[in-house]
Amino acid sequence: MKQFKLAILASAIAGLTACGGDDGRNGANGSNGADGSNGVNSLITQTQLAAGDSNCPGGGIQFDSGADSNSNGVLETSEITDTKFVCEPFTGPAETDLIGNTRNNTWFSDAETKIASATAPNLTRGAAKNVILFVGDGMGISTVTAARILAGQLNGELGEDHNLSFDLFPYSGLAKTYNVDAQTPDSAGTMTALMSGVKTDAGVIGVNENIVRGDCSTVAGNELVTALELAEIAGKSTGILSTARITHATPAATYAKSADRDWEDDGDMPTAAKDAGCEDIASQLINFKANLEARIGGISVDGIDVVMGGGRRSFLPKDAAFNSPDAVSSVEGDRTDGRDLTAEWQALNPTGSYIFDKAGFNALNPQTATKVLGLFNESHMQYEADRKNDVAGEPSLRDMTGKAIEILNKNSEGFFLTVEAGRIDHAHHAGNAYNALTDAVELSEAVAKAVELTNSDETLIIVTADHSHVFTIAGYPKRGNPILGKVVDIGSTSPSLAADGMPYTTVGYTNGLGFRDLGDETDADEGYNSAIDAGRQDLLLVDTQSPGFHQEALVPLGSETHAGEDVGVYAKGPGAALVSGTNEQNVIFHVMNYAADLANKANSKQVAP
Amino acid sequence: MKRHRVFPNISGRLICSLASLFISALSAPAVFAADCTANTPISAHYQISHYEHSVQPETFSHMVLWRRASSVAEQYPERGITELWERNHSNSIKLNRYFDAYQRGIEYSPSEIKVVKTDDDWSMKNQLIADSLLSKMSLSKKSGKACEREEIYTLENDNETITVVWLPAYKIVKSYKRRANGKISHWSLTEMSSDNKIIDAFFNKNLDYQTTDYADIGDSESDPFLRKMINLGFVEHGSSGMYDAQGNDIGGEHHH
Repeated sequence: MKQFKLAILASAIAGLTACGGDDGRNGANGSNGADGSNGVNSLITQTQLAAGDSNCPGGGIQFDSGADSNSNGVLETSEITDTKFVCEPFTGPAETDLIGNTRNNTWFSDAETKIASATAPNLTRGAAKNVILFVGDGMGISTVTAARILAGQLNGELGEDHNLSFDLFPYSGLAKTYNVDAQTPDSAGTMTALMSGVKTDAGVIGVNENIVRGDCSTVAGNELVTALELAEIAGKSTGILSTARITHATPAATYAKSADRDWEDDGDMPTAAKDAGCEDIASQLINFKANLEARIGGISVDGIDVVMGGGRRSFLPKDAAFNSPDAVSSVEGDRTDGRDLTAEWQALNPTGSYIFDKAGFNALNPQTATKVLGLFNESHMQYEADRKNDVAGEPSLRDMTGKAIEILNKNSEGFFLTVEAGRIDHAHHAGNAYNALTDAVELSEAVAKAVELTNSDETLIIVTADHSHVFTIAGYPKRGNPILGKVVDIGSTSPSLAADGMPYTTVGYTNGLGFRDLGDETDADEGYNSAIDAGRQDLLLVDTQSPGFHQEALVPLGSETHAGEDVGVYAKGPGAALVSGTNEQNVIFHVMNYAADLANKANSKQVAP
Repeated sequence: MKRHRVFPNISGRLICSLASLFISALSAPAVFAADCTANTPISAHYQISHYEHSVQPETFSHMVLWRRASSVAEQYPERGITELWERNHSNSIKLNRYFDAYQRGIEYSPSEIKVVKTDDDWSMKNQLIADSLLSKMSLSKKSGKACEREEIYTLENDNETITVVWLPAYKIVKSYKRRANGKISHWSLTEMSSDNKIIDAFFNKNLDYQTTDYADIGDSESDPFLRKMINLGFVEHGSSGMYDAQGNDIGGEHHH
């Protein structure tokens, strides 16, 4: 900055005034008057403006001028009385429709048309300042029902008439979950549908069905824009929470574009994919701001504000020197490129907080925190029932949800938050209903926390699942029969017997590993440590309500599978009335887009030509 | 010198052969390194045989114990499988199971490993015999000093007889023999090395294999490797250490 000073000197002038008659002789000169006070300097400051400046989009110079009233030689803001700009010529990028290419996709256009033609009352586009999307991974209808009963019974009720927090939401509907190439879907394809408004193939993240899974060269040109990205461009605060690895399919679909859900870090990627320029999912999370601004011209974003979950290993080099204090592996990191993404994140967010344990989480002050990266486990976070066994402690899903909302809610433009209960799915895969249901109950508590902390007049909350599981509630148990117990008929006090003379449980699985009795083991995955044991078992002396009981399965498989039926969608707040009937899953994106007017607001934030 | 000729009477090869009954082998002189400690990185090759009483063993299998810092690996050459156990600062124990034919592995988090949680469990992995079992046994003979010290422990009851030749300086089993129900299980140390380069290379080779989280198997059934492993039952993580004739783990207090 250059400064130019203009000096102005002041002086005092004294004089005498004559009377009538002859002029007498001039008297003696009077004494000099006192010196006047010094004048003030006038200062001009010159500031170079970089391209992108709001007054000079092409760059230029800003001239501020004013009097140095406190004579400190510096032109302070309060002293500036005039500002002039000399701008470089500038031609801005053509304004583009952020999702223009996607509008040609029939999944997108059909869903958009459906929302546009909705006739539900009291709908106002853009009425939702905030949007929160809760996803129970694998939380099918039967899981919701069983979790509701379990929650009620844990409260000492019969259970069936209990309500989970989102059971009380005023609007609900169904979502068809199939992927473009799969009758029974996976999380990558379904979460892409939820976040981008376009159904796609199983196993791919944030790209449309023209992708070839595992082929890096097919990514370019097929990337989709997500609701989180639109919210970010629109100036809202954004957040992602998950109890799974934050690079796992469901959370990844909010921010990443990948030909394979398994490319969580560079060590997971084939050399050909890396050589072809594809970026691993963890790196995409750290480079979210730069990547988004590079992909979409004329925008300026500040990056995702709150990220919390598991999956630290994909962010650290494969070098023991980078181990976290609570590492469980001798070498915690998986990255082979030597990058420490946590350090890169900190450099990009110097005032941000990187945390890795419960103590760090507890120390976060949501009133002052602006950027948070919390990676609480090397891999997935613990099951809720197993959380007490974590090495360094982990926050619960409800705790993460509450703190994230308090941090994000400070933005007057609103916020967009995605919350995933990621381990319902894992417990079902292991054939363990106890952990699946207790994690679903924890999701309900997280939703309750969100309702408590937000204004329902300006916040759309949607609760849904990406897909279901082959989990059934069967038999004719009497009211109040323990949901994890054996079937006891109406009017009876002893377990009902099947045709084979043995008792059977109310909940069970169509396929999977089958029976195992691990007692008080709260880790569902422990069930993988025994051979497949499908089919009937004599459960007479088995405590089927214990955390470690794994339900019987009919078809022997190494892991229980997803199911293909519809999942529930529960909604509350502005735009919630759009959730009704049976919908393609990708319609959920359009509900959120309508409610918060995300695409239009994002488009309006692009720099005009 | 990095490799230690435990039984130098087998010239030309740095191998100790205990193909015959271990008692006979004990009479052979041994040469040990001067830096022998329980923390010395080590690779120990074992020959394993199971046979009927009074019948000479006809088949053998092998296992190599690799040990460094807080890691111990059990390599089963015939199966092409290695189990790598890691114990961290908080004493949590993690298992990676590697499949050489596929250059792939499965990772089990500490909470997924029920059979190895305590110090005693770790001793079973690290030494192939649990401290708790060794403490129950009677010291019947000792010989040599320092690195060359050998101790013979025995345990007899109505059901079984166990004899262990123990190298206390290294905290490693030189021979283990169990007679029960007319059957004999015999583990014998055939080769031991503390060559850091070889040991590190073995660990690093396995650690470089692509791995899949145990909890992620359910979302990865389209993966040909995992599907094959599941079908073969390989994803069930087996116990290791000393086995009885039925293949049950008998190295420690925790029998499952």
